[in-house]
Amino acid sequence: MSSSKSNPAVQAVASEMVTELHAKAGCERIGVTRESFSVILCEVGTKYGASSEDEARTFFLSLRVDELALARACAAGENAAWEIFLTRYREKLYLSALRIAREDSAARELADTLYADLYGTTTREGQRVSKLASYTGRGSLEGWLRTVLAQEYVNRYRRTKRLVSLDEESEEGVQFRAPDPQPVTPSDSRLARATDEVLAGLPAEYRMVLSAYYLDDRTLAEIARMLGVHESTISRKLDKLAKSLRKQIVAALIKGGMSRRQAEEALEVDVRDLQVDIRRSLAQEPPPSAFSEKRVEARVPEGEG
Amino acid sequence: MEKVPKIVGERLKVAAVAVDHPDSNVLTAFSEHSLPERERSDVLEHLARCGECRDVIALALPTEEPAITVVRPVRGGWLTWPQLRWGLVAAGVIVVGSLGVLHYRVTSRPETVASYDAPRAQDIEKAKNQTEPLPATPAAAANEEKKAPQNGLLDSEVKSKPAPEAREFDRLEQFAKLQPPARDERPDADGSRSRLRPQTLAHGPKPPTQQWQQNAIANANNNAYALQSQTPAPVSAPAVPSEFARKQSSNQVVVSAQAPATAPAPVTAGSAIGGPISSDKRSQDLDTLAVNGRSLTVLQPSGANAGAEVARAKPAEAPPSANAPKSQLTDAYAVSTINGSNFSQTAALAPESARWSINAMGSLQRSLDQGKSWQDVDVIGAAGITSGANMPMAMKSSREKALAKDKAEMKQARVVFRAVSANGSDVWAGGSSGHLYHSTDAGGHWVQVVPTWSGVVLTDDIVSLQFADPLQGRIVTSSSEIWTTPDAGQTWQKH
Repeated sequence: MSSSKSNPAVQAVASEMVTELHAKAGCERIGVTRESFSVILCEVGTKYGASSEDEARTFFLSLRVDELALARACAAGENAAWEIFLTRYREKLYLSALRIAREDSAARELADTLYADLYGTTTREGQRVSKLASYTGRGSLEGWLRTVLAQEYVNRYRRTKRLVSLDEESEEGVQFRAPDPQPVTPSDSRLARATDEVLAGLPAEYRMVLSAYYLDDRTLAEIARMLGVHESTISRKLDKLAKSLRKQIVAALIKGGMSRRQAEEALEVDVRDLQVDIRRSLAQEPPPSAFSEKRVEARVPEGEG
Repeated sequence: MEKVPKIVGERLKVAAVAVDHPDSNVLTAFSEHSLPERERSDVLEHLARCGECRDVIALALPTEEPAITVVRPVRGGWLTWPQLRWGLVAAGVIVVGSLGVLHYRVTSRPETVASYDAPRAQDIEKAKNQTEPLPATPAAAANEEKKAPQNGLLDSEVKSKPAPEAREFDRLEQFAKLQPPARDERPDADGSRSRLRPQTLAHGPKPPTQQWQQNAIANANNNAYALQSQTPAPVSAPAVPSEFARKQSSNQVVVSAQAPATAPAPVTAGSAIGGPISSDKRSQDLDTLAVNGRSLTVLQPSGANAGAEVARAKPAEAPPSANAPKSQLTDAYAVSTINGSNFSQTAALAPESARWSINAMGSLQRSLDQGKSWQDVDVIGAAGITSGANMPMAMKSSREKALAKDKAEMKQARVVFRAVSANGSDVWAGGSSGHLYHSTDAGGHWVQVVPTWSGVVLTDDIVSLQFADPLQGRIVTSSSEIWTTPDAGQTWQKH
């Protein structure tokens, strides 16, 4: 989607609209000139590959130009812009970090780390590099800050999850554990193929809902909010999917040469066998609280002993 | 709910391949539902396979706050006895006081009107019988007086027959026959009787006599002075649900100031902002306006408010609440219509016949004299903000504090208005960053409305506002989103 070269259509529309957008964004009071704003617009428009002038026009109208100007002014080190940014977003950043990390010290660390990135403590070729320079105004600045926090948190959690301390392993008694046995493979590969075929035929949104519900254990309300629909919509979708998937898999197995009875048996047998595998594979990513609970449980017998 | 076969979960897991993650800007736009359809499908395809990005989307969701919507239907929890008991007491006081004032007005009005009309009846008859065309303005009347001797009329007759006023007298008689708009006696959620809404104030055209104009302008100036001399009341943010608003009789949350009398005074030219007036001044105004045959209902000090809040506030029962604002708004609209739905007829004097405009700088302006002069309307200042002291304790979450602080900052930040729509005294104004404000008293008081639909808040610039009537409205944003409301902003739907 992105293109390193400037798009002529984007450039033309940016030149045409820069005056209007520059005024709309209130750039003057935060020290962003029209020329620099035009460059920003061209960069953003080119990055997201607006191919025609109409597309570019619609794209620029959809941007949060005031927040884009503010972010880029902050990235450029404008004090007036920083004052506005800190006034508007400092507290929200910490509140969002607290909501994500659910623990005060972790939240503060997360927010402080992001603040340092936003301010630009790293330099490249003598120039300060601020994370705010990567904000493009496609969504709200507040939403973008939450997304960046969430990404940082997810990266940290997944990174530290892989680094299991020896103390924890010792307490859990798994230090010298024998390697896990090979997972049980499906007794009939036709079932896996049929299921893959049926899943591939579903719209992406349905697969996303299934993954969020069955793999991530998200609630219906969470999934609904992620997709911007009502909870009852997700409930109806899942119910409809549950009823239709079974039928479709059976139909695919029959099409593959099985009889109806064989197909239904394959589905039932596989359900029973795979139940253990699914739990094991899902158990590979336990929630954070599980570690602390296990640590407490392990210590109690030692105290009593 | 029926479960899917377990093989489905396993195959979904196997198919999960995390490649080409969308950047944070795209994920943000996806969360805020501002991606075009093509891009949204691509992101969904990725999210169907990538658990990390699903986690990011879920974690980055804004905190779901019940107070984001301005108006919410009040559910049953408010009909508890303690609230009912005090509500009934307050309602009783209001009803008794209102009845007393109404009685006074009804008994005083016919005499006043009659006494005003009586000396003029003969003149009216003579004026009507005149064959000469009646001049429309006092200036023309003065010219008429000069011409009278030439037309064979006695000077004394001309002077005692203010021809232009004949039409005003006809109109006066017409208005004198008007019944005051019915008050909504249905109890609110807390059992209090309906507070008097400004829609029940029969604002309307007054005879544009010079004397009256002078009185009105003087009163308006006095009102403005009274407004300034009052303790500035931090009016709560409209994000606070109305049920919390009604809980506070002295600190009206949504619209009214802390001053006891919160009737929006009829604003005339010379007063940029209609605002609360003191009870003393209001009585003077009522006397003045009673002479002109207007029927006005007095707002009582305790529990009264500026109506816009009450018009939004919902009683516990949804059906009555659904009807309440409509009837009041209908009444207001009807009054406005009777008094002249086109602005040229109601020139000069009635706030709900004001004209609205947005200047090149994006400021909202109002004219009360058919466009001859325009005044800036300070919407944000009049809308007010939530102060921590006024908010119910239950709402003082850290997010609410941040919201309140943000709203305080918003007062300083300039909102660029881009669209305005008015139906009589019911005015909507919208502009940058989804700022939307509503006034039910022609700009006297404003409430900020934050359209929300399924947890999604309207944050794009509002470029178009269309309200065919006070209830049904349509917003178009700069990102071509269309938001509609069937109930004056209480609920919204995004298309």
